[in-house]
Amino acid sequence: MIKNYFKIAIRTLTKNKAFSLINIVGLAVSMSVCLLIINIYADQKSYDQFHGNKDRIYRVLTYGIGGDNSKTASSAFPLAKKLQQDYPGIEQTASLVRNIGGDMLYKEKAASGGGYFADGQLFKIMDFKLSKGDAATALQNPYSLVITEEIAKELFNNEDPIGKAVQFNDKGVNPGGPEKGNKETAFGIFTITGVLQNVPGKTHLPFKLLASLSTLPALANEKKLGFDANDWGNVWTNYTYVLLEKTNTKANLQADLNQVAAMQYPKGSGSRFVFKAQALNEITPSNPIGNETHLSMPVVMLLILSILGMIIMFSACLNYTNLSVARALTRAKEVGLRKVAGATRAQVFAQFICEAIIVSLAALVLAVVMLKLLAIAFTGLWLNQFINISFQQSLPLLLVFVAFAVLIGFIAGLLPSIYMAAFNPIVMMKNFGGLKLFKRLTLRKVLLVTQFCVSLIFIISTAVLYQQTKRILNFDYGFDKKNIVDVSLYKLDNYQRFAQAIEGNKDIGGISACSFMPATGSNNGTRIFKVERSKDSMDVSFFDVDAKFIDVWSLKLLAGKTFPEMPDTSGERYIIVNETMVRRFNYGTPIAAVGQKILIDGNTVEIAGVVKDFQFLDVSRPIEALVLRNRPKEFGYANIKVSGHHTSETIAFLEKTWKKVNPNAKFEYSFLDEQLLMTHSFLVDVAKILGFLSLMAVLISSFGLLGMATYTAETRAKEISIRKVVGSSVPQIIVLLSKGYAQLLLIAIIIAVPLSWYLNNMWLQFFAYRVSVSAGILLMSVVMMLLISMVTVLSQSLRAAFSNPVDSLKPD
Amino acid sequence: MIQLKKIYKYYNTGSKKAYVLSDVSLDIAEGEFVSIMGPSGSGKSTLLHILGLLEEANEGEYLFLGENVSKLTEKKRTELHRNQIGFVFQAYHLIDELTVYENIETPLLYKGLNSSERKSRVAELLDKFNIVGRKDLFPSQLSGGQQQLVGIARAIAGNPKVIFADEPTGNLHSDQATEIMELFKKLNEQEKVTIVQVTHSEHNATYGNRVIRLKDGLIQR
Repeated sequence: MIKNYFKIAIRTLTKNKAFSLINIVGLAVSMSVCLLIINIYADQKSYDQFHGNKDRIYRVLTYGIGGDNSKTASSAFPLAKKLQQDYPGIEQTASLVRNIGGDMLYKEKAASGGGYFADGQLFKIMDFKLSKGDAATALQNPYSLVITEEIAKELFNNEDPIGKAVQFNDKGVNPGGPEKGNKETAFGIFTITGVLQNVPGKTHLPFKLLASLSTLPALANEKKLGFDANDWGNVWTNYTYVLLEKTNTKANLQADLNQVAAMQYPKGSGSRFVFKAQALNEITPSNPIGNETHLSMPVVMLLILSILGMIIMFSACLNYTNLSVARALTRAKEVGLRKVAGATRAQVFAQFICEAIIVSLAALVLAVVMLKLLAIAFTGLWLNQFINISFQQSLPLLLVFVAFAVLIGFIAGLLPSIYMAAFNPIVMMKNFGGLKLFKRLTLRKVLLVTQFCVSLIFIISTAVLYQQTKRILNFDYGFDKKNIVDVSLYKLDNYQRFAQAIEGNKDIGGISACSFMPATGSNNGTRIFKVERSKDSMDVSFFDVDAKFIDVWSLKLLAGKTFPEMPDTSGERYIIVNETMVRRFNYGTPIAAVGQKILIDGNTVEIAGVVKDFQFLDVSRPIEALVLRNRPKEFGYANIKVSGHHTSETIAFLEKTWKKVNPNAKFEYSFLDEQLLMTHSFLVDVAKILGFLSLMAVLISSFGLLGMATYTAETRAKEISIRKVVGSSVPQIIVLLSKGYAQLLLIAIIIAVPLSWYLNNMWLQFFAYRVSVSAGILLMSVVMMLLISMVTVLSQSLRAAFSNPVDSLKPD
Repeated sequence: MIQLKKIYKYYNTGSKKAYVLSDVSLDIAEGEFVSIMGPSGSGKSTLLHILGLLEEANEGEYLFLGENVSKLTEKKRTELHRNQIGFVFQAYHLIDELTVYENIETPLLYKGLNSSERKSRVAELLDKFNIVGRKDLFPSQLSGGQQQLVGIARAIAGNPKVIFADEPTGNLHSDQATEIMELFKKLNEQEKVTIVQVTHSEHNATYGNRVIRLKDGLIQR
């Protein structure tokens, strides 16, 4: 029976090539988008699957309560020990402490990487294995270091790494993120005690090294970093992992954690927190949480992508439904015959569902090919260098694809199949020509209007997003972002030597220093007070700069002067503020503000100057009150103004000079304008993705329209011929065939325009500087949509109108 | 075998009922070959549809094989179509996408016969109708007469007790028509299949053993 269904499906499909092609291509296009999303999801779900105990491993998160609503993937350091000692049902706990990452030096060679302080407990919980060294003892003694095979190869090539001593210079390198530090601290000499095997899959802990936990107190003694083994207040730098006993449950663990939190953070104490157990498989894809150990696809983004993918898939299904229902008339005879021959309603239904599934499976084949291209495009996106989705198709994934295609076939074929199955066989006994099977075309009209709406919303949203992206990419920051090169300093001495050495080069216009790059996303905040009226206070952002900063960045000094060339070594004396700060403190004019005394971090300082407002926060946020401070020990970057001519020679000169004066530090530079662009890369990616999806949506609805128009023109061929014979002109026929669609388009516009206006204004709220959803954008989108649709419809109407009546008036 | 008692069929046109059949009562015994005749619009096709359980009468009683089938569930009706009733149409109504072989096989599929049973039954019919050589052709590749042969083969494939034929030779020229009518006669005489045909042709009616004449929805006595 199934064989028979297949046979007739394939014959029908090959007989109606245009219809099949429209359906298969439409379904394939949207399916490929969905497959991409499924692939991304599968990739995210493949994280941490190689741990033998994966179902029993939990990470402890910390949520602030009582006003503090911070959420962090980290937790208090003493927690691991506490759980291990006092709570039965917990097989193993482990602590991982952040803040080790930098350069390892061995003889002439150097390697760089980030990782954690840990002890051997980790190896008992997760399947990180050592290829060299003993997991039980490798992380026992202070100053022990376990490294990846990759680093071992870089440092020691073919030598045996075990027992080798390396110098470790910490640079704040993050094991799982893009951040690179700009400060250097010599941690001392470490002994290599183990080499990590390459992990057989993806993990949320992508570390390159592990230092023994016992190193921490020693480093703290030398004041190289802060550490207190009994500090429950610091929930920011340590990760706690728990392996439950086989019989224990997450709920039990959570109860234990609640008990510990209630004990450690009683009501009335300063900072209060609760702990939350998070199963290993809930870590990726990620929910927004602080101090995450790796970058992965945010769940929200996956969700939005899925919704958009589903909308497009749905649109393609509508095409199938719509065209099949339209063509039902031509299949009526077959259905009638089958029923007379003894087919039940269910059998007819099954036949047509089968047909839809075959179309869907054919589309799948094409979609898998398209997926390859999509995957290449996606891999090229900026964001993928961080989340690193790999597009490998395993057998289970392919089975998921097939199941997906079957489901889509079922959805697309459901309505037509119900329609067909309900046919009364009597319809085919009667005269077909005069038969009006579907007097009420409501269903088809609703489907078409829905599709038009989806397309229009996509077009408008893309246009708005494009405008917004353009707005932000060409944003006027209020400082000169061109031709500034930033160099990581690591140490203050590096700066002074470097600044002196490069002075005098004709392509260098100036050099200044700052604590971090403004407008690239970082900011520090503190509270300042008026000295004479300490009730007057406000929260401000601040960063540290030197005297030449205003010059190099081309900021406009409205009143007062810049910092003194040589800052007072005894302490902070001057600050420079922006206009917003002057306004907030009601000084009246910038000139009046100069000389006012301010209390900042307990020091009294004087306002030396006022600069015109410039964008120092990332562009999604409006300008706030800003204080520029002048503490040289905070400097992290040198900013060098270059001429813009001979740029590569200038960079080469900078590098050569740096290596000469600072032989122990790496030369790392970037261009400010590129860095600023980087902060928008995500937006650009989103614009690209949405642009692509809306192209798909428009394409698919055009396909649907093309199918409908073709079909209508074909079925009305006889009518058109008669009209032509009795004297109808070509334009009259075009109007006759097109006006129905024009009405539907109009309805769609009336629905979609206000809806898009509302939807787009919703997301635009996230931007401080935003374009408006203007009448211009709306009009342009509507015109585009009308143009595409009318061209589609007209192509078919014209063909029908110009056909020779003789061809369709031959007797049947 | 077939008993109609006071069958009425009408359509509501505005406020008036337009009667297609009025007070139709008739008996057809097993093994009969009955011709229904009458001018266009006399209701003969409607009568055939009611007999073939494709339409329901508005009033009256219909007994098929002694069973009241005036009101039937879809399931029961399908059951009868599968096992007791075969149809032959004026326009042949073969499925264009299926070959001769597959068209004949269709009712057997729905009847639930297994592959080898179907094979032997179709082969038997192809042989009987002398169309073995054409079994892999599609309907569009056949002449009208040949298509109607396939139509009949399909109608009797499921071994029905009765065949309802709606102007089976209406689209054929006389040589082919004769061949088809001879075939009906043979089926009726040799295989005891009850046949009810609607026809315009007095000549075709002579192949049967009884004529029912309809005029304006009434049986003429």
